[in-house]
Amino acid sequence: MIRNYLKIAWRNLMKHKAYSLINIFGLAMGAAICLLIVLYIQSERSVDAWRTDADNVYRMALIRKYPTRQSSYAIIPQSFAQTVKEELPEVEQAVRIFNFINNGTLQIRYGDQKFEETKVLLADPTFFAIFKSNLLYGSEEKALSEPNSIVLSERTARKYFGDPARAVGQVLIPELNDEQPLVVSAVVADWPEASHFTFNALVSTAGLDNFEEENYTGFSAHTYFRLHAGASPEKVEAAMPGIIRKFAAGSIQRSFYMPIDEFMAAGNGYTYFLQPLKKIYLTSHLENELRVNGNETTLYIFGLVAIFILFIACVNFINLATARASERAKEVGIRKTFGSERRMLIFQFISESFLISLLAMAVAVALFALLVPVFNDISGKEFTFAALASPGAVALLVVFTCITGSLAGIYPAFVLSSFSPILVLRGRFKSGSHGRSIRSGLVVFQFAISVILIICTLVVNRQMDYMTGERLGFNTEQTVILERTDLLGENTRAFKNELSAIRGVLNVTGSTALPGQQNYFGVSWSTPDKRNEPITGRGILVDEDYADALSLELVKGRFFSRDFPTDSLGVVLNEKAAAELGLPDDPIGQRLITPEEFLNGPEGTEKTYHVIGVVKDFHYQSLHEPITPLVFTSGAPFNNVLGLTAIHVETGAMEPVLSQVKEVWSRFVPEKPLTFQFLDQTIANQYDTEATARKVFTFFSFITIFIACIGLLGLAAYTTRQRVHEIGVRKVLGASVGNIVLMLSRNFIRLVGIATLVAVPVAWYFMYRWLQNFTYRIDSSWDLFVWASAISLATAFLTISFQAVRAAVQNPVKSLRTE
Amino acid sequence: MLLELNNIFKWVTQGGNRVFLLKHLDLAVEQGDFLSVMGPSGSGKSTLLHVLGMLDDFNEGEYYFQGEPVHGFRDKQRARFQKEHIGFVFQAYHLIDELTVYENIETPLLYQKVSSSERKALVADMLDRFGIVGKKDLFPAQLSGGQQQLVGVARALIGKPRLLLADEPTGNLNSRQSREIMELFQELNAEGTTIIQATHSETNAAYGSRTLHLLDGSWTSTPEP
Repeated sequence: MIRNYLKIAWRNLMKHKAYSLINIFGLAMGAAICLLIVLYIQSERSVDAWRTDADNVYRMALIRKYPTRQSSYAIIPQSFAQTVKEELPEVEQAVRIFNFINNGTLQIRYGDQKFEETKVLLADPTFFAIFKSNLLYGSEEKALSEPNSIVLSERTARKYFGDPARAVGQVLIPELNDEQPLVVSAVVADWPEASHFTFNALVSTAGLDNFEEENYTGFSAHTYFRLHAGASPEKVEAAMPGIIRKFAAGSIQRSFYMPIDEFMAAGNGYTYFLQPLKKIYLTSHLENELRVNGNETTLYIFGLVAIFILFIACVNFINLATARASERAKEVGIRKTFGSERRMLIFQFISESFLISLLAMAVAVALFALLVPVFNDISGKEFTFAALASPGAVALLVVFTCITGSLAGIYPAFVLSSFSPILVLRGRFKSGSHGRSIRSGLVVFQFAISVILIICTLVVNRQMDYMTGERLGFNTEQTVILERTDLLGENTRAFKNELSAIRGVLNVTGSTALPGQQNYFGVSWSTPDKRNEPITGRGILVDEDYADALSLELVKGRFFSRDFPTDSLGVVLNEKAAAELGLPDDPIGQRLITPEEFLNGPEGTEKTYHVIGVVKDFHYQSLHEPITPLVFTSGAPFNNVLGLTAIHVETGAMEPVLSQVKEVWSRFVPEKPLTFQFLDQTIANQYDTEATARKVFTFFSFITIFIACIGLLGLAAYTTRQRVHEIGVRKVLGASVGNIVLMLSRNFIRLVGIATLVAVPVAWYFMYRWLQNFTYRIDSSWDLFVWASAISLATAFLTISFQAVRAAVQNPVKSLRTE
Repeated sequence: MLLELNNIFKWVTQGGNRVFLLKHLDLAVEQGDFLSVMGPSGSGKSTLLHVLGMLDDFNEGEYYFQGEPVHGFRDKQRARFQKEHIGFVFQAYHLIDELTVYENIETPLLYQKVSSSERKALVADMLDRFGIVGKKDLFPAQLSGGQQQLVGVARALIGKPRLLLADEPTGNLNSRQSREIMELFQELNAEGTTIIQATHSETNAAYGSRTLHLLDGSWTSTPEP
């Protein structure tokens, strides 16, 4: 019996090839996208989940409250690890991980070979006690216990020594100030990518005094604790305020010139909290994370999109199947007359839809292969076609087949099997009217989803343009950033002069930070009469050309100048800093002090700075953040030896300038190749997540509207065919092609119009919520909604009119004769 | 007695008025009868056949089939009775276009839980008997009208029904094809199949053992008991 059903299903498919193609292709497209999304979600959720021993491991993070704002950090003061472990019985073990200077990039020499090593971290000797690892050579206990020991990943060890087995005991020289040799103590299997941090090499903190110094106020250490089994993390959190009072009061007094009570009363505060290790990757988005973390909300959105897309594809199936009902009605009538019960017919139609969804899955596998590179490109993942061979993916395919088979098949099966044999056999069966309202509802639903995605795409695109555009308050174009220019040392001046002489160079400036790079330092400043009310903000060391190179606008006073030697004790503020310090309207000449050691004299003699200028606020950090106080100090006391050098270049001159810059660099710093970035690129990098969202939304909205249009095409073709006779009669009576096209399109266009009306408020709400992520954002203005509506209506109209015009230009005699 | 109708009424309500399709109808059919029902279009011939074939309900009256009260049956019982005892032949053949001749004939057996080997044998017999073995793998669209109706009759008979209902079986056929089908009916009747046919044609009616005339849902002459 089932063979008979499948046979007839197959013949039906073959007989109506276009219809079958639409169904199968639509379903396949939906399923392929769903597969990708599910794989993506799986891969995101697998991060750290494989650490079976990590249930009791937490990272301590911090909410720092300032009088006017607050920030959250993934790093905390370095002394807490030891203190908390000693004070609280719940804590079994603690480990700290530090970022190496220069973002973990280190030049390492082995013999006369030289390597640039990335992702180098510093870790306490307890590292392997908390992060259970697969040590290939060397022992867990001794791996980091000795001073100057370094653990390499297998990949790294192979790079240096060819055979990782040879690594242990070898000596590597890091190009740091003291060039203290490091001894390889162990080789660890490559750290899994599915981890919230990863490294190529780990250097031990053992014996390094600056990591043992008492510090309860400066944030530097990623700190992990393992609690005893059954111990409550809430208890640890609750004990932290007491620990702060007991241990941090002295640090606070020294850093902020006031006792802890006064400090707290002024609106400051520290809230330490524990993050379960396994949740860090998806839920933690603090400052100084070890890598860019994933986002749980994105996963929910993706999941929702997957369901929507699959549903839209199923809707196509349902709509076409019920619209075609009349063709199957005769068969239903005959089968019923010859003894078929209704449930057998239901079974028959469902098995038919299973056949189709099975075929669709086969096509989906092929589509998957085609879409994988596209999806990798937009999502930053590295899926391969082989991902489909895993048991999970195969199970998923089976589940999809069942879901689409039943989801798409059940409704048509019930409709088709309900036909009364007499009506059908007598030929009184009026086709097409069955489930028309449900069909309309489903079309509205499909297009509503499409319109929502289109609106989201437009909003995300516009916000991105806004964030990378001109309103940042400084020049982003035609600027190249040279890195590691601190290597120039005393040649800095000469190097800068040579660069300035290159044709096409407009400005050259040295600084410790540039927009888009997170290396501003945290500082607090106060006026001498109110040393108890310091403001905290960001600091930057610059030379005299910084304002010109970035086209910063000065609202008061002037920028640093070579003509004023006293500028080495000058500061330039942004408007926000001036306002928070409570400076008068004309702040020029106001005195300021800071507890920051390197900004004061040797042995802690306090230097007094004076304000020489105020620049207009500009977005020196990403637009996620509000503009915070920024204080420029002069690089002159350090002979302008600064880590970064920015060159502003004339339009069109970038290429020749760059090649000359490289030539100059190789003369000044022959031992290290030049590394550089472009300012607009580093700014764009701050919005990686949003850039991905932009690509993803564009991709998804394209797919959904595509699938929805496929369905509409099929439906339009079908209804048009049903009305061939009517069209013939109308044409004989004098209707023009335009009249006919209008008549055929009107109903669909109305549906798409309704869909737009439904979609707009929903999309508005979602985008309103999304835009709250940004301190500086566009308004979701009405023209976006008009655009989205126009796009969807136009696509729908094009889809339908293709059919309608074809029907309308046909010779009426032909269509009337077929009756 | 194969079946008996007592005082059957069937009506539809149109614009608040009852329009009678069958009115005060009695009928008795013996095993082995060949009854022709004649009457103009709209006289209720098809409705009567549908009621007899248990495809359609009636509003009042009694219907006994082999002594069982069909009017008291639940849907399931009726469906079982229908598929076991009644075969249909239609004016427009109503073959399933996507199935071959062989598969069309086989279809009723699928719903009667006949084993696969038995099905094969039964269908082969039927093809042989009707001389259409050579056409078994063709689709309906590849056959002439007469051949299609032959398949229709074969399909109706495959389940060995007690009663064959034919609604204008030759309405779409030319006279030669009509004659062939009618001769086939006569043969079947001679072998014991009870046949009730609705027809417009006096010639075809004459093949039956008796003829009744229907007008506006009632007999024009009282049927013999």
